[in-house]
Amino acid sequence: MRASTDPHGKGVTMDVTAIVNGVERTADVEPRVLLVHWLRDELGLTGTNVGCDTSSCGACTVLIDGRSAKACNLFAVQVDGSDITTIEGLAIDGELHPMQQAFHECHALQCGYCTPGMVMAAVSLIDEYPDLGDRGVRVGLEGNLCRCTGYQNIVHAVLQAAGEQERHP
Amino acid sequence: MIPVAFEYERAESAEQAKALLAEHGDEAKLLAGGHSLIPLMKYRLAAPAVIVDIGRLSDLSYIRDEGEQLHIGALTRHRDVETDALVIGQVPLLAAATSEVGDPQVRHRGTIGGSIAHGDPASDIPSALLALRATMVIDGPGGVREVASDDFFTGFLETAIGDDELLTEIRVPKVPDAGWSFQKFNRRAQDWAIVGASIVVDNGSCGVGLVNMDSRPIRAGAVEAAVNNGASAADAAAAAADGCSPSGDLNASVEYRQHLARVLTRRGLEEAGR
Amino acid sequence: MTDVATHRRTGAPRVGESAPRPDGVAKVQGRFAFSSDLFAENLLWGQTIRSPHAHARIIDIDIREALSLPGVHAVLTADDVPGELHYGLEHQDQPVLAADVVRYFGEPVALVAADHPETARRAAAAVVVSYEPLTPLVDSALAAQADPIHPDGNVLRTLTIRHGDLDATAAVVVEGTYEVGMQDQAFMGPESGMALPSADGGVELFVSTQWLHADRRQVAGCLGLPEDMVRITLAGVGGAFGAREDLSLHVHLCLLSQHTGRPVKMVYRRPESFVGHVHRHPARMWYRHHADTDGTLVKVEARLLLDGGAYASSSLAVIANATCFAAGPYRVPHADIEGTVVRTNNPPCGAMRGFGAVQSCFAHEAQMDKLAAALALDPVELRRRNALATGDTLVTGQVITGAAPVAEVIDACASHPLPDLAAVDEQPMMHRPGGAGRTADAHHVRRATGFALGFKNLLFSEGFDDYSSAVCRLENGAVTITCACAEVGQGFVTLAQQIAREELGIDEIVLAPAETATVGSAGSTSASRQSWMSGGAVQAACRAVRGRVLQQVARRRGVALDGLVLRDGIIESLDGSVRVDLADAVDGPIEETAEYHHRPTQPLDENGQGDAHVSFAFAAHRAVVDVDPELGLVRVHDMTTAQDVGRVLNPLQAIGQIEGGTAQGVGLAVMEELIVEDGIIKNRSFTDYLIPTTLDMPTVRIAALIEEPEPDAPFGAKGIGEPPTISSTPAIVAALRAATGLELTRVPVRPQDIALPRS
Repeated sequence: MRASTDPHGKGVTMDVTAIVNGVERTADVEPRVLLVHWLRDELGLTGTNVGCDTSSCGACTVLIDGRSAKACNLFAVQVDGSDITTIEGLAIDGELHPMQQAFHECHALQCGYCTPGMVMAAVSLIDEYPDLGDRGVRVGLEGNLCRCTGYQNIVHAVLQAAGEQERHP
Repeated sequence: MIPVAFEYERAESAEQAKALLAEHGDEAKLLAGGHSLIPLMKYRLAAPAVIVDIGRLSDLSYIRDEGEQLHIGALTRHRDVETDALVIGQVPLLAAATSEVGDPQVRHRGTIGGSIAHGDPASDIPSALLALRATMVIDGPGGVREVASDDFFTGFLETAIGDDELLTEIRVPKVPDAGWSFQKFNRRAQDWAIVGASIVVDNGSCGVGLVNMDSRPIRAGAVEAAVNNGASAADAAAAAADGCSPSGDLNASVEYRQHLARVLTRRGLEEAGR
Repeated sequence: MTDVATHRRTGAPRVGESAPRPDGVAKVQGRFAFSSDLFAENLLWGQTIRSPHAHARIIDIDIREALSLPGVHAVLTADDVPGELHYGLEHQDQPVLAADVVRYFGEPVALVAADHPETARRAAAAVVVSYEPLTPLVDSALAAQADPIHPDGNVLRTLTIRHGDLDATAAVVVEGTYEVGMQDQAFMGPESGMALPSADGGVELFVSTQWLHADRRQVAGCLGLPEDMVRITLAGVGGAFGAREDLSLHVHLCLLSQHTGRPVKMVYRRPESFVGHVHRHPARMWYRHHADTDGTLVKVEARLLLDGGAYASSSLAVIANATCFAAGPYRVPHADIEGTVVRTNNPPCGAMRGFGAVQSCFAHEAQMDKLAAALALDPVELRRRNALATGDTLVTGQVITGAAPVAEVIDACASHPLPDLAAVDEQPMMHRPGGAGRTADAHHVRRATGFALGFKNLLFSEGFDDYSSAVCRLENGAVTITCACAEVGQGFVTLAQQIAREELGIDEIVLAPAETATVGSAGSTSASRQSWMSGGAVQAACRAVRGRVLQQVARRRGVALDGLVLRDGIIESLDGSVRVDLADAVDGPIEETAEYHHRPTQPLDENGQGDAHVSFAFAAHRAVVDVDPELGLVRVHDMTTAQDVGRVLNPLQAIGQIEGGTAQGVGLAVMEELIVEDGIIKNRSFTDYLIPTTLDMPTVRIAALIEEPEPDAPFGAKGIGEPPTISSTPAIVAALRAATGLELTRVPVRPQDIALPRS
């Protein structure tokens, strides 16, 4: 999938090379292209969503070098040389990642728009803090907004997945 | 909105960063974590012609024990500051203030230098550095100079850093035995402080930095003087809004901010053991 | 016809079980296609030019410079609308594009299509609109007397309820005036869609919406096309909550596509989204309650004023709800209630989950607590004494014939054990008001509890002949269900499968896309109606298929029809002589279409009397809050709720809806408000329009889901989406009043309302 490009010539572009979901991707992008748009429009990875303009909602959360970051608040050129994981890259050997599985089982999503960002933020969170309780998970996800669920099942799902991780690291 | 187009330069060293700044003058802005600059660029409230990306300068990311002080590289990410054993042990106020910045995603990318160089009175960390009497190290064509935090924040979104200069290090006096408190009031989690207060009380000497009580990060000088003169927390805190010009906005009226400053300062002083 | 009892077995979940979402795996993998993910070859990008004024005359629109920009393929104004110039859900008063006058901040004035979003943005900025600003009418109290800002006048609707003896009096009287601010639905997935021109001169539209066929009617009208040349397909929806019931970019996309002959896509950014859809009506409400000394309600007087903003949207129905339910879920023998919704130059308001009942409930529950205080009666006991029950008469004169377990709802919620919260002193700093900010001081924090009861109607009202259609097709042993019900996250897709399994005994149920071309209207995803209406349609269509299958088998095998059952994909006769797999039982496909109607309702007469509603649902909330009054900081610790649900069709989904609805009630209570000054929305972002985060949301505990089957409803199940938004807000504010001693007559309550009540 390719976005339509400005036929009047892009501005000055830069090379960006990054590992995206385990695959090396190279592109020629204008510096002002936000990472989220590069992922969605250039690489066709539309799982990562745009929900706001103020880095408030977290729907755009991806992992950069294993740590969660909001892709709407980075230029693609900044991640040159980095290792990026989007929601599409989370599956393990074609199987749902335990966090994805837990979200599905615990009914931690309804419309699903916040879900990719929420899942990525949660994966990063329990990777850094495997032993969080309810309150710790809530603190860790305060950068991700959801309008459908009221968050309760999201917290359950994260704790369930963390338990899994503890059992099968 | 999509930001206005700009020319992008990636600095591989502090020297190169300075050279690029010298070359482009006030047309250039530095990009560290991007969490102060990029939000403005997306609303086109900032549209620099040149961006100098210093995000790769890993040699400006460090936390060092230097005797009486901690030296923190300007490009140290918030996440690394808030979890660092030295910071937690020696300057816990800074760890606490840093842990309140934004949310985990922001703290993974944002840097201490980027945050304070922005000069936003609504930022948490400047208030802590003011209370701690930190100094900032600035590197430019004229050499390296150290600027006291009192002289660093000069106006709304303005600091002592010149257009051709680079903030390289923050030096924070160790205060492992001091009483301290970080009071951040927001109506909802994740938000900027409506008002906040950083307090250090060390051997009867007091530092109080305020968040969002003026056009720039400021110290509550009247409170500090009162504490140093032996006033109680309540009496000293009554002066918290003195000499400040907080703004009224969607989040709070001027009167409410003044009220918050007094209450938060009093509670901070009490928590700090005053 | 044999009525099949499909006994339990192994296999996929059926009605009453927590079936997982059929779209769940795709959503957690990021493979689910939202309307913002749509793509086509040769795509153009649309952009809307909007009014910066709340009220202005348009003197001139100069599109020459915009048109001349390379890459711009169209710049359209009202002159380019080929059909009806206006659209509207109830009242056709809203311009597709403003022609002579703009009536609200952000009203669409012109459109651009270009080959790149950036080009479209530049072109939009190059359109020069000359305005003569006019003084905006922004005070709803002045609207009725003010000069009309629209040819249809400033009063959209007034409704009067006169019930019983208007001169009745009683010993105890309490009075109050209350206000509800403008809440926004704030769905996560901003408005987006794509239109493609069809070879026959028609148009295909893929869009996030709540009611495909109402959209089609309006779009076709504005395009000057017959309805069957407008083909709408539901694209993945990122939440709705009422904000997608009206058109937003639908006609705009089709106009651009028709004009350019190319696919056109549009995605609103968040600030544009805030002006791009309707909001909850702000309300000012005066009430006077009269009661005997034993707490028996005698009369309720109320005057409600809702601000409908610039265009009618669904204001006529919202004010009807607010007025009809103004007295609350109580026996009120005498009532004098008047509700008015007016037109102003404020942002247009329309459907938001709760739809008028939210506003009234805030007021009537505050009144009930005032009354309880005046009577020295426990607030819960006061409600018990007056609670409605089946057989009681509402202030509209309608007798409740369906389930109304109000007493059970009250008791379940009020008697549920209080949460095991540590005393404030013992709590870790994190749990005190201020959450992560840790500013609360244990010595000053006050904890209190509040209770509220609410209700509203389910389904549509006042004589509207609402219906839903569904198709069930059985072919080679596989079942496909086609229904145009808009899935917006509520989980109808899950339920449809459960119902089909229940009726046909087959596990594998395929859902066809929701589109106008292949099936009739399913009505709106609103009014808590889809489980009932579209669930009923799916059930009926499946039953019809089952009936035909059994008839074929009976005929072929020469057995009596009533000796056959369909169970777990097998048709068998009770005497064992027939046993055949469903896949082998019939030749060729069997397809049945069902159109499900609810029983008729009546309009309200000039006294607001009539059997206007199909059914009612009741819910109660109990809130536990900690307040730091010196700061005005609030922590909602716990929300306990009981709800009248008829029958639980899917426990996990039901509870999920209740938790999500409660969150929206929490938001309205303490943080959500669009701040409008002189008609301009000041906080068009998620930094300044505050919706609850994980840390702001309390634990929601379900005290009980009361299952008293609703006689008329499929499976006896009531809709559940809206009640949680109704009683949640007043319960929290009741707790805040108890904690602070303040009157708190307005929501959302701001910290400074508590800390500096006189400022």
